[in-house]
Amino acid sequence: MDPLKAFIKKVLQFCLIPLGIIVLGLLLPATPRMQHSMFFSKNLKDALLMNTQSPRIIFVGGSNLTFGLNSKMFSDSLGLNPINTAVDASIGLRFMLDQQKDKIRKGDAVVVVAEYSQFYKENDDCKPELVRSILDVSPKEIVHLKRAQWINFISQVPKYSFSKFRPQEYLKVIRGDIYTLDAFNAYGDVSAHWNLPNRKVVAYGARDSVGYNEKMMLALLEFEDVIKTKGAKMYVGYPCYQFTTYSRQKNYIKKIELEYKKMGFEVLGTPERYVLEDSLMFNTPYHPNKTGLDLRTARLIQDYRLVLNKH
Amino acid sequence: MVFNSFEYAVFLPAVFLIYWLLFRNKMRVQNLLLVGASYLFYGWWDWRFLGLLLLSTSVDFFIGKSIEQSKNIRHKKTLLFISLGVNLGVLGFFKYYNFFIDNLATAYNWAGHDFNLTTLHIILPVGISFYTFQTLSYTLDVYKGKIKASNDFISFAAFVSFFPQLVAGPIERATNLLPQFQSNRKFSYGQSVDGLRQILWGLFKKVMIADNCAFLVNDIFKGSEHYGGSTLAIGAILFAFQIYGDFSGYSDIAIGTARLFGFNLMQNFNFPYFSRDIAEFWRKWHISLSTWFRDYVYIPLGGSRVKKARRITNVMVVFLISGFWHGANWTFLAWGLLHALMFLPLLLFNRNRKNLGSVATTGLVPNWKDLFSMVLTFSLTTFAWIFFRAETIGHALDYVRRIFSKSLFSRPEVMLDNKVLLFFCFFLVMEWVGKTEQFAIQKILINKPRSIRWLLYVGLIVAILLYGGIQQDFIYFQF
Repeated sequence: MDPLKAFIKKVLQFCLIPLGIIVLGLLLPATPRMQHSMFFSKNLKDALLMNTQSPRIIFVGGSNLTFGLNSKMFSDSLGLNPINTAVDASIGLRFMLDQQKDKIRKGDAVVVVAEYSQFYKENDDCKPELVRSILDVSPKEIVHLKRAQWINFISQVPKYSFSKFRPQEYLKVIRGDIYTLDAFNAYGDVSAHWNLPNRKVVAYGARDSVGYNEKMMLALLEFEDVIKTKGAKMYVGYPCYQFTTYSRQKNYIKKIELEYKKMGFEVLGTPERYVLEDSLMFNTPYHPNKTGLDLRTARLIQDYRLVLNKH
Repeated sequence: MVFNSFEYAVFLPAVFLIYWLLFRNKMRVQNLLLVGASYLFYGWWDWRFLGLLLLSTSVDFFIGKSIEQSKNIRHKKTLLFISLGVNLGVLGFFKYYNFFIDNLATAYNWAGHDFNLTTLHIILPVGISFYTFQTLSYTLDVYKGKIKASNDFISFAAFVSFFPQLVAGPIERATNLLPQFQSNRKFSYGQSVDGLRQILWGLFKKVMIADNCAFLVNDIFKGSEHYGGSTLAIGAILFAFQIYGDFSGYSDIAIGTARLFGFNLMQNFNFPYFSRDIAEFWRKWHISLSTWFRDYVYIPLGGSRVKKARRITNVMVVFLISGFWHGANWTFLAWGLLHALMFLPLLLFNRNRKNLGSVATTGLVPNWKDLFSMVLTFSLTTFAWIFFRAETIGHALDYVRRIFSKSLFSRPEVMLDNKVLLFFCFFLVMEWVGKTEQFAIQKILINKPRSIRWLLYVGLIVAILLYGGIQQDFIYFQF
């Protein structure tokens, strides 16, 4: 046999193994572990967006909101119906915004609280968590992927498929944890950690503004334009952040603050207002404990009131 | 385009199939295809720099021919200097202009004078140091009569721009690579399978080792003032593995890819972290660059045939230039200087050629003496890497000062994930077992049934996909 043909045949034969695993992985339903993970809380949050009556205040962001908000305080003090749509920062700010666009109604107040990491260059792609939350949770959301994200999406598919064959996906199904589906309250906040003692928090390292990604800021601007046409109003807030990490990244955060102002967004407070003592953090520099999240929510309510009074 | 990307996964098979299925035994057309593919590969980053590549190619092609045709020594010399001037001028402008202006301004200001020249916003073309050195070696070899000047522009352009090694080497010599472009390539089943194996191992080193280390290394080096000594020491060690996995991984993918097209590139890494002294390390680390400096700088300066004092100067010059080649920063010069200082004692006591072969070739484990020498050499190179990785000399010195403090014995604040650590051990074992081959897994399980071999390869793919780090650019692209 011609060595070239033999080589191509052998390579194709070999590729059949990983390809077969990929196809099988795609055909399999979400693993039991995934079905009980926080990513599936999206269904609960979509139902809230469908059924909650006006006047509504909708929170969009990553896990700093999921773990760092007591929505009931908003309801009690402002008489608004809060919906916390946040799940995890790793699905990317662009996608978070795009998937909410259709669900915003006239008169809604939308508070976007992007983690600072959303503006790092390397986060402007399609991470494995996004692939999982699309393919496992809601495949119809795939239409929100931008052209630039598609290549990343396709290149992540093998990883996604292979991960379905990890034994722990079937044998170590976690329930009753802070990252599981049952960790959420009726507003979409994670409340499972409210009565737990703090865990170890490792501060993040320094960041310089070289890695700043302007595209994310433009995505915010575009989102604001879209919801404005629907008669809703966008506010931008700052994530709660551990003091140590904040001190390391101060310059980078300043840059984001300046960019928010430059874009003319309605901003709630300053980054410093949401810096929390290290002892108020639960398990990451973005996740506060109950005392921290109540303090954060109280400040957010104050800042929201200030903005309303201004107008 | 980078090797560890989806784009490359489409590009490589497409070029391979066109090259062998459509243009088999058509050497000139194959060369033309390789030039087109290489320009596409390079232009994927920034098409504007394709002009520089073409300029470098054209200048050296025509000067090479003129040098060969000229009978006048002075004329030949003038032509050689034009080539050196153009190539090093372009390299100097893009890579070193701002550095010199900054330092001149500092010196003038220090002396109390005003300095008006300002720095420019210059984007460094990817891989410029690599292809510039490759074309320079051609002109120098033609000048010395080591090689005949090329009469075929296409094959010469393919030699300069050959995509597997264009942006990060190995820096090939015209004497090795150019003749391969000038003769028919035959498809070899064995060579191609070996190439695929080497690509797979290169990917494993890049994605599994380098990219997993990169995340922690970036964090530790950027926030070094906040970490204790033990964490900083781990940061330095992880950087040693990151740069090895990154650069040798790239070289493996480059050499493996070239094999698929019927080319043999030179070995660029020969398990350098198993070296027993710095001299051995430099025979095994970035071989294509160190031999380039040996052949075109060290030997012309007199090499080892001169008096000891002159030899010491020559060694210092070579190491400093080598450091400066990496980038316009005092940190690279300091790195070069450190290596020179570590190398000189060996030279002075004539012990620089003591460890010529591979370590522990007769047994599975090294003896205590070799083990101690390896650990010591690795520690010395890791120490020097701190200067290579730091932003400034001040940063490096502060980093070192913080390592050697009481906190060196505290519990590290960060560490690799347990699963990744397991793969780290696997990687070290594979490298050790395969250290006498061109790359670690070249002969591993080679005599076992295909199903067992394939199990290893599928396992590597699964590991890369499931536990690989976040995609990072190759470190050496910036050089």
